[in-house]
Amino acid sequence: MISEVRFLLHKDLSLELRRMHHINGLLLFVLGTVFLCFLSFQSKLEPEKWNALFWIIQLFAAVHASGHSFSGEHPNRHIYYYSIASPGAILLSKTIYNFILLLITGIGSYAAFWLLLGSPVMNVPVFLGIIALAALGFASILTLVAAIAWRSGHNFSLMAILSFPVMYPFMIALIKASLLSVTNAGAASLLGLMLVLLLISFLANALAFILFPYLWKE
Amino acid sequence: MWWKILGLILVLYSLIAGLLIPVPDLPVVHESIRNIFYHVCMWFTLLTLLTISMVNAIRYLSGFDEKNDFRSVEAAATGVAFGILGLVTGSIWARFTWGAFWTNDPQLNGAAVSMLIYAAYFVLRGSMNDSEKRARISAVYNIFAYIMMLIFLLILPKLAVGSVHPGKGGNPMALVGLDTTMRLVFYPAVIGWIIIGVWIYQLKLRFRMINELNER
Repeated sequence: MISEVRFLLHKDLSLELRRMHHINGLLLFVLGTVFLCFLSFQSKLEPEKWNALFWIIQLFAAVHASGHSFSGEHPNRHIYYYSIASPGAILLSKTIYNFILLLITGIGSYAAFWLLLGSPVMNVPVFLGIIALAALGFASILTLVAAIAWRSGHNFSLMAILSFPVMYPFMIALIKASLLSVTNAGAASLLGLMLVLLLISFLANALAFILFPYLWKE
Repeated sequence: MWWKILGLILVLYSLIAGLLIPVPDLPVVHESIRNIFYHVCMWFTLLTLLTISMVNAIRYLSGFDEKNDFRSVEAAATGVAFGILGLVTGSIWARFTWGAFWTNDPQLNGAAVSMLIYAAYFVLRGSMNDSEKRARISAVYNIFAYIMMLIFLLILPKLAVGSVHPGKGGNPMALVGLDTTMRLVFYPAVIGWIIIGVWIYQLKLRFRMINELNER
């Protein structure tokens, strides 16, 4: 199982390193959106609005990124994967791959924000930690939703519709936690919120692990 | 059969008694507190039906019996109807106590999220033609979304600063604050509406099964 995950992840990552089209596309997407925000907002953003804007853009980037999880490859190749790997390994490798992708996007997005819209973040290390937690949560929840959307055959039109409602609990906790790190207040409740984020990610991962085999087999 | 009659009696009783019994004159809500007998029951019924829907999704995945898929989708459809009733009764109540049809409140948002989730569930179902595939994929989404909705309903109220709903932000706790006469109406009302909800679900399910049989 672990070796299967390692091989599949290695395959995905080396494909990505060779072509670089997902990560470049995502970074460009984020940069373009942040630049649009820069052009739209005339005055400096207050921390609260900055924070909400940052995470909404992150959510869109994450939905965009994970939407490609399964549809990027030729259908016949999935049959091949089906014959050589267990569904759990496929799901885990895709989740880890999405996590890495979203972590890079998150940091790139923070850099773009910092450059164009300024950074009101007071506690930068904690904020980076929250970016990592967010990438974990996005990857855990959205990989399963991407599999559902892919299997339904209407990948891109359904991805946003299906993922937004199930993202709400995570997003609410995320925006609250992140706002605490931006304004650098309430360390105790911040820790609690980060724990909530971690728990939601693990729960989503466990559920995805149980449910994915039903989607994977044709 | 007896439980259907019981449900009818309980609902009729709560409809009439809810308007007649004396209620405590609490600030802000005043006489509109009577809406508790009608509005809150919708949410209990909604949650019951959505739970039935989720349980049947699990049963479908464990045996791929088509009947469980029908159960799952009909329970969700009936649940959504009750959810809309809950939103409408809640909105009217909100308008007359807080002055707006919609306020930023964790309970309200939880209700909105559950409606969005099940709307997405029906969009997902509508996008597929193959009935076996539709049943399997929507069952997966149903289970996943139900758990996410539960998280939303459980953690969000704890994160909120204040709420206009009972037990939070200085509002009286519903079941503690309810005086004895109100309880005598409230509990039967909840049970009665749940029975009516399940009954409607069963009728819809039977209708669906007959339709499916005729088409073959």
